[in-house]
Amino acid sequence: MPAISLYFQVHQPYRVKHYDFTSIGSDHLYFDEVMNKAILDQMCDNCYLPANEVLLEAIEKNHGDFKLAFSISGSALEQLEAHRPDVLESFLELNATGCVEWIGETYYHSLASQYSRSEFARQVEMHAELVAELFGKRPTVFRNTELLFSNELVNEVVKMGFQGILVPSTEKLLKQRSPNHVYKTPLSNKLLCIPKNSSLTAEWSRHFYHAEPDNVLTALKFTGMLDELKEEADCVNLFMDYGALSKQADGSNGLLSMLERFPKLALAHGHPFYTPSELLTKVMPTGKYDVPYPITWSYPDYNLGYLTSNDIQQEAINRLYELEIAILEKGNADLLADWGRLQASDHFFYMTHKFEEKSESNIYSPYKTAYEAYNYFLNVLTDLELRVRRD
Amino acid sequence: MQVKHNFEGKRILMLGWEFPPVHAGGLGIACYGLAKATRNFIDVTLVLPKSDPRMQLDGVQIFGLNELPESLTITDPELNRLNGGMPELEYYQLSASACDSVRKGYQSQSGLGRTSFKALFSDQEVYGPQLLAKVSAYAEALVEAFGEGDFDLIHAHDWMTYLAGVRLKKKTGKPLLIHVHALETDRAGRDARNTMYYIERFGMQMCDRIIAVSEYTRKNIVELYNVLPEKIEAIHNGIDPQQVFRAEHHVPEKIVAFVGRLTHQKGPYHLLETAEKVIRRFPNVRFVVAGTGEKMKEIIDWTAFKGLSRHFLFTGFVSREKVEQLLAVADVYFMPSVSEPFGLSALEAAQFNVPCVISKQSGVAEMLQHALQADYWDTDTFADHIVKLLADENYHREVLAAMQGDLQHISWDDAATRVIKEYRKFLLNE
Repeated sequence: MPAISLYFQVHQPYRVKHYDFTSIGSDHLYFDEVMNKAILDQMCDNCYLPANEVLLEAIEKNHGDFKLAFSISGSALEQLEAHRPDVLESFLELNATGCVEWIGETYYHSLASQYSRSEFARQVEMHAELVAELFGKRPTVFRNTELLFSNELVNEVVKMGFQGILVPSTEKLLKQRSPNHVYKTPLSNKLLCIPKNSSLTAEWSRHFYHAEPDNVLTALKFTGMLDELKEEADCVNLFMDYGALSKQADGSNGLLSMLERFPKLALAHGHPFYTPSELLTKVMPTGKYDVPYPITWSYPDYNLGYLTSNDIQQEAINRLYELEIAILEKGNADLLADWGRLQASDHFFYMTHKFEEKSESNIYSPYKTAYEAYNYFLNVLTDLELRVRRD
Repeated sequence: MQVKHNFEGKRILMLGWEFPPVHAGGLGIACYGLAKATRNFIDVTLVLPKSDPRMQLDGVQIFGLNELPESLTITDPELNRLNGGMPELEYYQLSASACDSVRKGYQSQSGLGRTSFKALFSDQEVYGPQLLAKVSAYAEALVEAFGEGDFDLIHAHDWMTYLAGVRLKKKTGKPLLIHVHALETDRAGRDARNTMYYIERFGMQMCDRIIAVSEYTRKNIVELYNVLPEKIEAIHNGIDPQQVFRAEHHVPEKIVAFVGRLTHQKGPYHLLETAEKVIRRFPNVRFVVAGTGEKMKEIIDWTAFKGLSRHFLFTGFVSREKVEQLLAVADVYFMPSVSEPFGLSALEAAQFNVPCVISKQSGVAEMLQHALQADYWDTDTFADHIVKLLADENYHREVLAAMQGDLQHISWDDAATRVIKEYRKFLLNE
């Protein structure tokens, strides 16, 4: 019976405030503290706290057989520390059970691996250090922002001391093989790939986003799906944003109540829970996963289309990374932190045209349009450039 | 205070559409300036689609259709008649295709009921998607409210009020003077032959006299609307003195300011083409583009695609205060309009001691004769002008000084005197 590997991403960016062009040169506070705190509070109260509680109870009830993994971005950890120490405390409680693994990532939830290898390494190290300090152990498994992955990344990640990496799976690149295994890479024997099972993860998000009666995911239904998998399946890797466990607008929370029963039921059906690093030792890799171009977990194209495909995204990102050398030379901690925070992939997601093309609005964006997001971001970037030149 | 007795208590019925501080567009500012300057000579009643307690001008009666009693709302059949076409257009033998074009404009806005008349004028937006319906309702309501003819001359500002002016003239026999602040051929291009164009042409044909806001506009009326030049008087608007100031700007680059809606009329492509040429020769420059409009996305995309974003700033919609803050730090004001009947913003820039580079296809080019000028398509010359102003401080100072001289000749009193002279022709048969 296949094992289950459950992983949740927790991330909160520093959203840029409505930074007017007349502020350039005089106002160096770039982020909307009020909005960022409000969104953090909402996520903490509707998701992180209640979900942590359910998970803690499941761990305790199942006497250590229920395990899972988290990654929390550095910018989320910073904001929790500053505004919601109670929530950080509840993550620490989970950590104390020994049943939670902390996955490494870029500190600022950035796309640095695409734009600057040195900045990528700096941020991964920053994050690993923070995780070690808070949770007592350096991560040994890595996940990149949006699960962004390609062969090129393999040896970078090996150099940083990771043994495994969470990766997206596409049918084309898996060449009709199942994602329910652990794979090697063509470039190193020191790193194993753990591919996300997109279709079974989608059952969870489908429930979250369209919880119509037909889609209600019960523990029984989902365990049934796992039971039906072919005999040779080793592991089912369910990777998703922790926000998927949020309360619905109507106050209900089907996924959480599903999660209250699921661990016990799955264990009873013979599905063990393994954390990603356990998979590396308990599951034999079955072949190589060759990923010659960058892929992400973004549905349906599995590429960076939402983040880096249009002119304004590219211009904003290029100008941002052009600052690297000058900022590092300055060695000013404030500059470095602002620069890092501006690297969060979220900023570029707010600039996508993909929603407009479908006549939808980007409900995840705090700005009215992609161009509004871009203009504020560029005003801030202009100020940052001035500081780099002057300070 | 001038004496009014010359006109023996005669009254001008001024038909307007915008008025500050609620609508601070060019038309509103011009109406305000004119009403303020002429009120010393003659009684003025100004009718607007919507009045607001904030609109105050001593000596001028301001009346909004929203103040009409409920009993004066227009009933369904009336509006349906309007929706079906306007008999007076046919009566005055507009061509069949012209009538057709006008009718289509109305038909696209059918289904107005009795109560919707009030709704039409209840929101703050005096333009908006139901503009043509508002225009016909405005005309209808004015005939109801002012059909008694308790005034001596109708002075109608821009096409939204022309139909009302014509109907009032027919009903009361009072002379109609129309005042052209902008033409549909400015907004939509010289080939525009749409509903607004035909309404404008209808007004020009039916009126007794036309005041154009510039010689440039006068010429366009003659050429594009087939009106005899003798019927038109070009009178430049004045400008109110400003509290001007200079401020330190924080960006190290020299600033070229563009203020205006980002529409084809304002020449956004010529702005970009010029900017690219300037940046190549004078890289220490930043173009601050203040305003928004249908071309904004395209323009931002272009600067990003070219990798020139660091030479631009896009402000989006800007308040009056922000425009002033921008002018206070600008080194050059740039107005490459394809067709600009007047161009108040350039005068304001000049007041703020910013030398201007402006298109010859503008009214303001006649007033700021020492502003640097080029045809709107001549981006090489625009770029030469801008680079020279940015690079040569002495030249910058000289141009500015000469433009200050131009400004000395511009005043609302002059404009009012000339408008009054037009009034006299009708009121005193001079």
